[in-house]
Amino acid sequence: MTTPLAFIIEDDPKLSSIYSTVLQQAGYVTEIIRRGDEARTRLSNTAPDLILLDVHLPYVSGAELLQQIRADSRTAHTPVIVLTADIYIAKTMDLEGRADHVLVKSFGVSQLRSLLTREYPGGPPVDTTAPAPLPPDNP
Amino acid sequence: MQFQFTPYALPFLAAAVVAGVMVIYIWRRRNTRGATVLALLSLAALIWTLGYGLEIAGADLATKVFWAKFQYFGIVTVPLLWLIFSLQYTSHDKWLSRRNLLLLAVIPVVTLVLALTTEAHGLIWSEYHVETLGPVPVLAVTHGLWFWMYWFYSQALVLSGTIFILRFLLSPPGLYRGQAIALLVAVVIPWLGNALYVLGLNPIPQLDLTPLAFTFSAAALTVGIFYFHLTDLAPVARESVVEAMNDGVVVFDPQGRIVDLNPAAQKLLSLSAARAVGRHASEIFQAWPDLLTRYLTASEARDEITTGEGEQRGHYELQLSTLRDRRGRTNAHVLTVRDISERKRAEEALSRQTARLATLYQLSQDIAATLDTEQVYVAVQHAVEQLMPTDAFFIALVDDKQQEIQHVYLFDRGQRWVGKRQPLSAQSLSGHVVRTGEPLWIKDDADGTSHSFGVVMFGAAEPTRSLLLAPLKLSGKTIGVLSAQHYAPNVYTTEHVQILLTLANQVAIALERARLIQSLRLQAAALDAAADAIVITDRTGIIQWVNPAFTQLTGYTAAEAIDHTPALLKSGQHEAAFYQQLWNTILAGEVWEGEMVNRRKDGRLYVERQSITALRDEHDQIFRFIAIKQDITELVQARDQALEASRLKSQLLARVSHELRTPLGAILGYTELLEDGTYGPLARQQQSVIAEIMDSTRHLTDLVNELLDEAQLEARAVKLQNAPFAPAEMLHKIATTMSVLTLNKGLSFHTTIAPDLPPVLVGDEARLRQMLVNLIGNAIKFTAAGGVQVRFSCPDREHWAMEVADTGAGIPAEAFLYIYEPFRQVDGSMTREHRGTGLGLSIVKALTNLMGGTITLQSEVDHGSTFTITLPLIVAAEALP
Repeated sequence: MTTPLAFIIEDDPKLSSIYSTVLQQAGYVTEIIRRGDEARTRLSNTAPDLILLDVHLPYVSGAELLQQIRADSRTAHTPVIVLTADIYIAKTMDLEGRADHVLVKSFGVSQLRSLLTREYPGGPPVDTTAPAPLPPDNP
Repeated sequence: MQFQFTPYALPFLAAAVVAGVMVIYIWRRRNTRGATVLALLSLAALIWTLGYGLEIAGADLATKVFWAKFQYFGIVTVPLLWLIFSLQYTSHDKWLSRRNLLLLAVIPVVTLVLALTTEAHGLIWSEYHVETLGPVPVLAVTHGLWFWMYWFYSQALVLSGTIFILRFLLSPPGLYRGQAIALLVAVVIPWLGNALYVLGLNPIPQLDLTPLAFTFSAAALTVGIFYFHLTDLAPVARESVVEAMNDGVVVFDPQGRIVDLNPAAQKLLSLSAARAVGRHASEIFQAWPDLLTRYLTASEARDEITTGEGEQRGHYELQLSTLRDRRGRTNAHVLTVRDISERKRAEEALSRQTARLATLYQLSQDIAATLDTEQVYVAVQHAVEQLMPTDAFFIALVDDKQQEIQHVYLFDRGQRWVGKRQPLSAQSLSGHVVRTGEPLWIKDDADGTSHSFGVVMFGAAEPTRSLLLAPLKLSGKTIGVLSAQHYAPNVYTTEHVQILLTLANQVAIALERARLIQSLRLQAAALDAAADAIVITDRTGIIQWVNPAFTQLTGYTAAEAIDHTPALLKSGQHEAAFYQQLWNTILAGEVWEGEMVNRRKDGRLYVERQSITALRDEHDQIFRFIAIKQDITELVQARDQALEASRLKSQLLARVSHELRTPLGAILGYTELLEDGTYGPLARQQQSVIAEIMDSTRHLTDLVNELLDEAQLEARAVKLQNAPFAPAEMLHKIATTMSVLTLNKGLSFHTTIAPDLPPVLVGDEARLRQMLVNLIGNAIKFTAAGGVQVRFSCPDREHWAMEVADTGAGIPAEAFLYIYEPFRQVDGSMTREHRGTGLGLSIVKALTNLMGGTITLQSEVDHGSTFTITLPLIVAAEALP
């Protein structure tokens, strides 16, 4: 059984580091992508098992990426958790219908954790004892 | 019978023929006065002359005797008819009574009988024989005693008639010459015959010429009657005319003494002929000395005089003329007096009528020229004073609201008095007139009749005694009283009542007109003074009228706007469809309300709020539009600025909160990771510090989130995203999240959904969820023991309800009013203790309002609270996919 891969598409390094930590604890291999255009490139050659997608991204927006994800047959059914500061923005961009979940910032770690536990029980067991990566340096 | 020719018979037979022709001629014209008698006279003459002619022609005694007796039919009637004619002609008809005629006829009838039977007694002829002494044999008779008696009798009759006619001829009737000659001939001829006979000058002694004489006499009368109209101009008629005429005729001699006066004059001047004749004019005409002096010197004059007073008043026309003889000397003065009272009365009535009409006309002119009620009062007073004696005058009006009569115009003793008010129900003359609607006419108030009606209006020192009150009526309703009064009794007549009623009608109309126009002026002034521009157009939109505010708004004067359409103001800022919709609305009779950008005369644009209403005529057809316009340019600018400011504020807040959230998320995330030991185990003290950081960070996050919501709601920037949703599913998701919190606090959490709630509704699910989370969060926060219950129900067919009940602290009643205000909690200490943002309920309430719902609270301190949000029920048309 290969380790599931999660893409964290988020421009804020601190938030992406936190999400990465939680997802790793949950058993995912994580890849952090900071720019929309990079995400587009990565998605075109790799199909992850889970995607955390921020709405506000440089170059290519979260909405456009979501459209691409759903349009691609390899990722059409990949769970996508949309992260946004404003659910209304998410709605007007027609994200909600395509995203599996929307987490409104600032959500807590516990919220993300319980979502993963509840929705993806088949995912890798959460090993909270595993060594945690250190928070990244403040730029 | 045997006859022989003798020329002596010819004149008589010829006379008989003439008489016969006359009989026929006259009989055909017997309608002429005196003709019948003349016809009979001619017939008698015919009998006489014919009989005599045939007697002369008779050849033997028997024949002659027969015709001699035949003559007697004429002989006995001619004198009698002659008398009758003369009496008739001289107008002594009254003597011709039936009795007198019978008496007069006795002797002729006896004579006739005796003549026919003379052989038996010899009273007519004592002896007779044929005598042939002369050229012709004649019947010679010796007359008997009766014959001579009759002879005298017939002479007397003829003489009487002659005397009547002669006397008539000598009196001064002024007959025409032809008439006079005819009469004279008719009278003289019989006597000429008689004279010849008596004097023995008869050319043929044996012949009696009398029958011829009467024939000629009748002929002369016939000529007189038919050719000289003798009877038509009978002087008798002239005299009777003077006697019978209605005009008085007084004849004076040149010295001024009364010589004669006819019955009419006696009556008119109240003088008997016996007293008046012989008296001097000065004694009779004392009452008119000026006339007298004039008449004594003048020869022709004409005057009108008046006698008596009031109803006894008489008017006479006098005409003086002078009769002169041929040399121009004054013979007599004739004064004719004609009673022209009737004519005069008619003339006076006519002139009164004319004056009345003139006054009424003047009044109508006066009151038509004014809209000032005071001027109406004065004009009416003048009219009343001209048309009837008036000492006091008033106009009273009914004040319906106050149930009072107000004497608005009182005039008495030459001056205006302050008006009085009195209750309509009070016993007063005016009140009586108003209540009955009938005029009131008190002829003489000496006995205080009016007191029975209560207050007497002019009852000061000198009460009026003649009172006239007329109701002022308008469409059958009495609106007031018009009154004329006088200090003297019995001044007014029915005519005055009529006049006052007529005036009252005019006054009522004039006052109503003045009132209407005053109220119209008031309305017009109000429209003029209105701050809003008002435009009246016809059905096609052509402007009929604008008020001054319109000019102020648009810069166009009334003159510039009228006859144009409001397209004058078009700004080009609206599509044609906009105007089309406007027209469709107002032509459908509905009110159009809206905002419009228009262009002023100076080219500047402005915004107006306009409401256009259709006016309908009596046939319910639209015939006018009224537009009321308000300049809202500044308002719109202010509104736009406010909206822009609000939008900027919301944008700023959204941005700020978004920017706040990202670092907050990081703080929260790292702290949580620290707390759960991701970065290694923590000492107890560290753990409790981390917990404090977590708690503060969560609070800060909530605060930022809710501030954003509140800001957006305040800016009315929140737009509901209505879509079909399943309430059960929504509730399930919320319960999943919230039950964690109740579980942590050891509280129970129940949800129920009423079975009649439709499975799919339309609404903004996210906002509904937010509201519920807020309420449930509060419930959990303030409940220490027990639990929280959430219930969805469907209270009626048009609403559904979300109910959140807890068993917590409850809310005191006095707090019900302010709990929805931002940053208010039941008390400050609670805010600290429970650390809410103070915005939750405020947001819930604002969202509920936005959704058209209501929020209610049932609570009691220590017994929990129940919030119920009731919302309009909108069922989705189709099920969710």
